[in-house]
Amino acid sequence: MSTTLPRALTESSGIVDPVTYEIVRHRLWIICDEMAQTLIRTAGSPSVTEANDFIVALFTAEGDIALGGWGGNRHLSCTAQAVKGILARFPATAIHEDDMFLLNDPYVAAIHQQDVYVLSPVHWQGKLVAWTANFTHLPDIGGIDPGWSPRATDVRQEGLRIPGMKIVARGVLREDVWNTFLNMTREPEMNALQWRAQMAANHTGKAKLRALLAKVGVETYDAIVARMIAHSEQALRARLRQLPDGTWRTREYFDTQDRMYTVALAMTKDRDQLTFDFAGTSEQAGSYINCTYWGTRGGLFVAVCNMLGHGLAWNEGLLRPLSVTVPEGTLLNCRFPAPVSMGTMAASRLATVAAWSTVSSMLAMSESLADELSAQWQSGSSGATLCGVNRDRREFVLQLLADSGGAGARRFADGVSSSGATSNPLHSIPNIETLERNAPIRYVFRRQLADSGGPGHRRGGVTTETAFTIHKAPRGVLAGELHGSGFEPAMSHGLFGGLPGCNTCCEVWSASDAPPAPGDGEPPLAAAESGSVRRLPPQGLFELDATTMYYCRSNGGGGLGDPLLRPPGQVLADVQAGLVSPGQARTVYGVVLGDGQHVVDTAGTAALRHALRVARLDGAAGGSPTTAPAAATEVAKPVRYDLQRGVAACAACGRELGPVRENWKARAVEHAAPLGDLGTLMTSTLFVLRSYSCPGCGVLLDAEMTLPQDPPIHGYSPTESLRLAEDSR
Amino acid sequence: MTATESVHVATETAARVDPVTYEIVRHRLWAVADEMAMTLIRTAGNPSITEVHDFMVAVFTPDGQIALGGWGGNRHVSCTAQACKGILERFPAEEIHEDDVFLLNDPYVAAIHQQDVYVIAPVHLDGRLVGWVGNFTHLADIGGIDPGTSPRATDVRQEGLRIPGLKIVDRGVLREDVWDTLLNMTREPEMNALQLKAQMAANNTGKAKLRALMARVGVETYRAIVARMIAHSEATLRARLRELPDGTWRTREYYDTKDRLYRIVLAMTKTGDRLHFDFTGTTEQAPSFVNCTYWGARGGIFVAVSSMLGYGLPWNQGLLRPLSLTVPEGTLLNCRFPAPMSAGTIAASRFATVASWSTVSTMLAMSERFGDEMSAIWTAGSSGVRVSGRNRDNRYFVLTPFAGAGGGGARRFADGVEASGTPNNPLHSIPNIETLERNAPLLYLIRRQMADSGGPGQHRGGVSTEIAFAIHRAPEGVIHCIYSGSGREPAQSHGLLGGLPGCNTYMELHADTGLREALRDGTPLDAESLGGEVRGLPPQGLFDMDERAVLYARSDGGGGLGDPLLRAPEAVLRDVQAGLLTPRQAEERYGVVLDVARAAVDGAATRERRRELRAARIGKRAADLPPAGDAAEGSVAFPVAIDGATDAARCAACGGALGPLHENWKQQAVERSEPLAALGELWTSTMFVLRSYYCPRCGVLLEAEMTLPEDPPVHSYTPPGVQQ
Repeated sequence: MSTTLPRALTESSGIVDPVTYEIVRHRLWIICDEMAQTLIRTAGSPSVTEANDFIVALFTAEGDIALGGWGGNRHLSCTAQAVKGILARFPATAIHEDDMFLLNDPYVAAIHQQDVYVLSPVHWQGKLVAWTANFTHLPDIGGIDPGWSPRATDVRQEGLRIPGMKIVARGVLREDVWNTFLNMTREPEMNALQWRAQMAANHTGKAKLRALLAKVGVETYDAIVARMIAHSEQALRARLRQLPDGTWRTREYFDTQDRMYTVALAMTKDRDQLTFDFAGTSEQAGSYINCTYWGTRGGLFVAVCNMLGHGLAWNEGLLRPLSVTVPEGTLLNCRFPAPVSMGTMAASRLATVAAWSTVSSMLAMSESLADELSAQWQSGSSGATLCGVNRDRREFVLQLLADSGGAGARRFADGVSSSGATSNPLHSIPNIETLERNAPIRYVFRRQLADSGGPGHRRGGVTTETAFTIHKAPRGVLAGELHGSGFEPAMSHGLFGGLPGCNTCCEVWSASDAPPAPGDGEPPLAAAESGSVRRLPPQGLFELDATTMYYCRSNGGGGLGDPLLRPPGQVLADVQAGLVSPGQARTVYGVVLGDGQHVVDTAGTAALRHALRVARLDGAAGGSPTTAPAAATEVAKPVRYDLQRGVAACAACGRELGPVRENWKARAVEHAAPLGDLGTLMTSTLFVLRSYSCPGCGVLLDAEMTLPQDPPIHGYSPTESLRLAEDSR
Repeated sequence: MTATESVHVATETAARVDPVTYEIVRHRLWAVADEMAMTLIRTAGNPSITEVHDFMVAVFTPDGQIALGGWGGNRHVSCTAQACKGILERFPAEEIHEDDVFLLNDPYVAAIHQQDVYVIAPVHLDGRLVGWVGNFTHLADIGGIDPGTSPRATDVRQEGLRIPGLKIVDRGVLREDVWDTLLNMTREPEMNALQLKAQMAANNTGKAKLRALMARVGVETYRAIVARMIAHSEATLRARLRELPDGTWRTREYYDTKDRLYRIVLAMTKTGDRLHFDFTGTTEQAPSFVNCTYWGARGGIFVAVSSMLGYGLPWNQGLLRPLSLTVPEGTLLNCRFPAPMSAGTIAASRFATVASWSTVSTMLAMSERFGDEMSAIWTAGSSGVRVSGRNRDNRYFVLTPFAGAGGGGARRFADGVEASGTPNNPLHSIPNIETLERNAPLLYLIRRQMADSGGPGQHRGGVSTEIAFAIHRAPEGVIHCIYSGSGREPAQSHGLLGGLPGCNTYMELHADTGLREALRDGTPLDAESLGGEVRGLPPQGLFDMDERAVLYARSDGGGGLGDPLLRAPEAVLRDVQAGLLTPRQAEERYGVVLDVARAAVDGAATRERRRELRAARIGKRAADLPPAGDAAEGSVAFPVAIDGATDAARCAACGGALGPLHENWKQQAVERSEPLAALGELWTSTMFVLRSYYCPRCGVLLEAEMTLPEDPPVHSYTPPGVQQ
């Protein structure tokens, strides 16, 4: 990754007084906010106005990130790359004031083609001084299937792919080019509105930036941006230096109808450098789930920004301490012409998930930074596109934006319920009414779902389930496209003994006899009983007619720490709030409730939890727990690494688990059970939960959501121990 | 000023142009078009242009009327004119500059299918728009669901690039970013770039030559001469029409997909000097890529009109003016957005040609003067394949190997041309085998003419070709094939005036053959030694070929003209000796008894046999037949004579009455149906019948309908004023 500084040297920022620095720094934040507001107020599509699926950002003249504003932060590094792509394609003499550029080619910079970058150079006194840019997700870009392309086997089947093109020349729209591109899409009017809104947002940014430049001068502006970048970089490096060196490993899964894909990541921290190595990841797919290098880098940037870049300006400085190795020809760095139109929800998100696992595990080793970590947030997808003829008899393509799974549990608190994914801190689900207005559908319910959060000392956030029928669709049918995942692997896994949130599940319910009459009488809730239920594969096309109801649930967030350590009072509160069922409270949390489930049976709970810990060790050497876990056991550090002595030990009871250079799992009590044993929301048939419990106290130290044939993950090896191991050889 | 007014004004100016200047300029325009074509051929690289000539060049007036259609696919002449009009509509006059170049390939605006991209350039002189030059070539791939053409598409937005009108060169400067973006979406960016640049070069040639011409003679004179050329073509066409009888001619053509059969129904009415084409009754549009828009239908009929009524004239706007056209919306020939149509050229649009070819030919056949212009149907089906994959150089390629060439329809004065290709491009040619093998990892095993494939008739349809190829040194050991043919079920190149249809198209894939061993051992290859498993292929679809596979395909032969029993026995003998006919078909269909030993016709036995066959057709004894005209090598007569004086139709051979003119004479004829497959093993149809109508008196074959058994007889001709 680039280590060159922007043309204004860091040292020159010394001339800027601190007050000006702070004023300009905050002004830049406001400019981004105003760009976002322009987008939200003009783009029309609920994906922008309500789901906030966009980004706004400012860049240096060279295309380095000056400030990432609101929105999907994995697009930050990609948009920067897009600016660099424009600079590489267009000679300086061909980039004029009030030009505007489009770029959406993942083989140049983007994650998937639907997210189109609109990029504007900012000139000051005839000189290029900055760029403003943003993306929105277009409902359709042409190609084999509406919206996304599950049937594509080649990127050239996926519609518009723009490697960098001028759409506005010196303030004049190239109307013929504009019309040609819209002409190839299925939602030309909505696309036109979104693009115009993107241009408007850039105009806002540009005008405000120029006003700022007029006030402080370009020298000062450049110096302040350079200092902001340097500051973010230095702060990140300082945080990294506080953390132990070593290598953290994880293995994540992605499911298609045909096969299972594995993402393998080894993250090595060496002083103030962080290296991500995806060697061992599955080869690229024949379908649209791949991403290019840019999608992977953007994906892992999410974990870095959120957990290591907290409180800092998200800019080029956060990229500089990182290096990324992604073998070519894999799911995360596919070769042309592999299709990529699901890249955001598939491969790129997996880069986030994997990096989230390793960064979280690393943060757990620092007292000061551990509150930044969390288990996995919603990692699977239940994203869907609906299309057909709308009530006004016009063709429509709509992103359903149904995804609102649960968040990963945190060290200090449970996961947020119905949070959505981490890739966009602003992510939101639109109003039901908005969706019903935009498509001929009627929602039957959208509600939170008990037991869907991953059990743990801290519980993962619960997910939502939704169902709708078609309603007043002139043709009586709608076509759907599902870009889902997590139907087999429970992708939002837990950490440190926490368990995974539930699987994703999408179904079409059909009434066998009388079709439900939308608008008259009761919703067709009885369909499942009187008719049939067809579970959809994770990706593909489906159809809805008047006799059917579409049902889906996202996955819940992962849990953190052994569920048997969760304070019984919190389990009671969850039961009373309808987030955990009495059954799960008993079988998974070991909590016995009394008095009509209004109080905790303390004695019964202690006995049950002891029995459950005994059962974990059943058959293992020693037979039963010899010690009880300490009452105030740490949530995020079940295994303590004593790097001085080179020994790992159970944090709850102190039982030693062997030398740190070895995988402590070899000394823990291992037990594998089908994932489905966790409850009916776990629809997986292939995966197991492989638990590692302390042989001393029976505390759950780690629970791998894994295919049975895959080896245990060696979660952490300290650099020091590796060196020792080298020496001893 | 309207277009018509401007022509009138210009015509008056033209009257003042001296005839020598007129002729010089007129010929110079031809030469300009020729030079444009040569530029394309010499620069475009792709064998589809350099050898097959799948392109068109033309010159237009400032308001987008056809000034002169030059070489190539003439159905694109009217579409390219429409494309110029589309550009004029989309771009205000002040945005059309000297040295601009425009692209357009949207069938909902002007084109037939998206692969044929129109490159259009305005011609300016002294800052004034004085004309347009335009051309198309067929791009190897334009992105989309499938390489080259899209059998799996159900929506035009799956079929790749679709440009409603775009400026690609602005005042001589290529918009490189737009250019790169468009090419980036295709699977053959380099070949496409070469072709599009060649198209620009052809336009530059045309532009330079036109400007030189105008500089010499002056813009006013130039415009006056063009207007006069247009007026001359129009006036001549109208004069020809006036010489022909009025009335309505009807036909029904078939198009087959894997799932269903489509009917193209045409009623063509000629009134005075006007010709109206009405496609009411045509099947509703298809969910797949076989449709065309109105522009494709209009372009399609222009082929029949320009080839048969516009002979010897400049093909220009004048030939369109006497025509009018009704194509119901939502049908195969005028599909509604967003229906797909990437096979529109060889599907719907071609069947507008086939249908109008039938009606125009039948009309011309009723005229002694123009009868020699007509013919039966030329190869109408298709067995084309598009291959893609990795080439020997390990790079991706998409290529149309042009499987072969079907036969020409029989003419009144002669047989059909063998291996002619279709009439929609008078320049059509098939490339050298070596060129194809150089451009794709293929090895051709055969390409040869095929006996019995021409439609039997007094004049025989041209025979077609059969080909077979395997893949050869393909690095991946496999190539992908897409094909968009038709004619597996209907024998689309049907005959006229009693002539019979040419054979069906056919394709089969031989899997797991002994090809590699045979090549290694040097064993001669034939069907028997190939072995393997044979799979017949439906008319459109996709398949893969590996190293042990062999693809076999044959095109359809041309239709015949006139009763085969009237064919001169010596001509049948010549055909047998030339390998164009088997002795068996000579005997069964032509009733010719050959003395094989002496390589001669047994004249007496032949006469006897033919008489018996005619008698059998109508259930009589040979002795009871009246003397019908003996076979001869002369013209094919129109078999049903129209006697206006007595308001009666009669058998031209024996004079037998066939009822009043306002009724369909077929009611008076003897009708017999037999499966199409009875014609021989090359007719692979399982659903179609040959429904023959014989003179009840002499047994001469008056007409043979290639039809589905449930469809009613076609009322081929009704005089004016008669309601069907």
